[in-house]
Amino acid sequence: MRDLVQPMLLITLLTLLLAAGTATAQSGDLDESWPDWVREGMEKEIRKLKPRRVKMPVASISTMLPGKSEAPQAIEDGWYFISDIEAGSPLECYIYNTSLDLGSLTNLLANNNIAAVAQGSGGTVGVRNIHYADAGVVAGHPYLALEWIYTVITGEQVQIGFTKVRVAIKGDMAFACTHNYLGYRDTFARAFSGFVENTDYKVAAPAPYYEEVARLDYNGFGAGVIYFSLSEDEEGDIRAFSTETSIMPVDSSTLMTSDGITITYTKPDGELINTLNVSVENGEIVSNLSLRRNEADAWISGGTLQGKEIAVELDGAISPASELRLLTTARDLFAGTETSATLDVWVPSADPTQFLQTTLTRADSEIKGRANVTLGPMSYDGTFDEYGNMEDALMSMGPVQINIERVWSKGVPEL
Amino acid sequence: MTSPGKQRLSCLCAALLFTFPCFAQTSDPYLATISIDSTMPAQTPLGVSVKFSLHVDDPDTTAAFLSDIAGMQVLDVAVDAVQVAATARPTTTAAIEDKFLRSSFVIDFDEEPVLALQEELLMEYGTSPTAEELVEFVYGHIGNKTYARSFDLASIVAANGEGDCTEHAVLLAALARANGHHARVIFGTVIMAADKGLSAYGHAWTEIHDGSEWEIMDATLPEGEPGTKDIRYLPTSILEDEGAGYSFGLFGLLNSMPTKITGVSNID
Repeated sequence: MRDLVQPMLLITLLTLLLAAGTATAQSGDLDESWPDWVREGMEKEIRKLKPRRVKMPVASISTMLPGKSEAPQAIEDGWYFISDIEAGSPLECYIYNTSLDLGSLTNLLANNNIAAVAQGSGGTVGVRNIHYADAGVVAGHPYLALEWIYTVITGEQVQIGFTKVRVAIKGDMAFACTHNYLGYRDTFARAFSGFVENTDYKVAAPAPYYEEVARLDYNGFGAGVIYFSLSEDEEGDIRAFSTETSIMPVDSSTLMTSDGITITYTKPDGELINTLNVSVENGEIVSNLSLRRNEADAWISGGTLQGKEIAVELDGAISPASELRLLTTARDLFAGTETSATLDVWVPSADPTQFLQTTLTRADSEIKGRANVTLGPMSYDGTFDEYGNMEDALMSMGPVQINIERVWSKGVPEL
Repeated sequence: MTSPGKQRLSCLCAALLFTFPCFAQTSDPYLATISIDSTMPAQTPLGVSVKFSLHVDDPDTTAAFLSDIAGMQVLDVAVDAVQVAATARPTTTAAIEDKFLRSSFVIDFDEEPVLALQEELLMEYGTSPTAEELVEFVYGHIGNKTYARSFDLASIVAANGEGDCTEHAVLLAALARANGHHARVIFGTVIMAADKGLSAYGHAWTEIHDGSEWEIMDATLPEGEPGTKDIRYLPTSILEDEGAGYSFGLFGLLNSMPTKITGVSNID
């Protein structure tokens, strides 16, 4: 059977999987209570696996995959690849050339694979547990990694399934790989990295002059990744583009995904022209909000929030800070003699009905670039680079600690 | 400084802190689980009143909030903790106000999905459902007990029928107000005593005013559910902003949440 491994007795499997749920599920560690054959299976790897050029029917994309790959198949909005990596079942990969949400796509692919595995064996999915969830950067692309271990019940027989998914997205390009077999975790991770690193494609204009990826860690209970870029449009305005994704196992068998996109246009001096923010949770749009000036020059904060239309007029005399203004303010603060700076900001995810104030207070007597940032009840310490851009931060509120760390950047965040 | 994206993810985290393990669910919520230890021998049942220390970021603010709670007494305020004595179901003492009867952005009982649910409710329980009947109805309506929702409006919960404690609390408050009861959503912690020992979770519930005082109404735990008698409620904040900026208020809730609870013991 392609997608499943050794059959086991129902009671044994259910016990081991439920026991696994008592640990922090997304750690990816082997569970002591697992039978030897499962532990051994989980440790299987293929060490020698070199990427090979895939013959593409179009010239606009070139890529490489490990193993013996079949001819790519055109699918809606992209390409589907399959490669024999001698790991029990084939490696399956996708390139999508359309705008997709990282968290939603990762979850969708995992669920589709698990359903397909069950259907392929003529059974139904039994117990599911999140084995591993992580986020990071590969070749400048933010990615998510997700692994599920589960049972498939076919009559009296219970089998274990193990599905690995990795997805990386930047702009309108998405890369995904899946593999349904116990073990081969590092093999799969290396194959995915090689796939993304060895794919060449034309970057949509205008190409950003600055890009960065930051990783978030929620107390070890989940992970997130933020991509941020700055580019100059044809009129000389600055386009700040960011995507924010988190993947959070909320219990041993439930995953919550969150995707967000923010697009802000500013004048070269950082004055905000307009901004749009869309938030998606578990694949459903939660909010779609924008801030723009009306004919009377007042700000209109409006759109939909949890399905409800809102439109609030805000004081046009206030100049809310753009991302670019936030950077230059922090940079100038560290270069000057003031100890703090306060700015008005529009944070629709917190409160779209008013401008909020954020304050940056220098705390760099011992650590260069160190400052405290407050926004209402939220406060955290961060380290800023020479451009006023945050390198890392630790946000600690009650039982929650969120670590933010810039893990990749290209270019400089100023023209 | 900070990008909107980072702030949005913090907000999400705040909502997920209040995810109580409903009994239909089989595993504990990761983020909402709070470390707890007791000075009593294992298996000791919780008494009428218990004392314990809440380890919080800002003990002074927490102590000030708790001093206004009926059934809670602040015993000591330390650098990182507040020691309190509490009865089983302490409630806030705020005066009843018209706003606790009105429809709001979050408690939106004037929206179609809640109005439709209200019709079902009246068909089932008659024209004057009691608070206990409301609890039973909401528990039954939210058939999919899942932690996968962050913080839904009452109308979304009414339409979807899924969620954890925050969704139960919000929908119960909406139906309570729709039936003329003053109601509001409370956030805090619960301590539970079970065979495996004590456990604590971030939780949300509803307070409904019975005409003389606020009463805890927990739609995740209707009367008769196992464990109902062995649960202790520790309110630490109220959903004050029920408008479109409600998420900003969730930031503040994070600070009021204990990092751990220590020294749980019965008061003679």
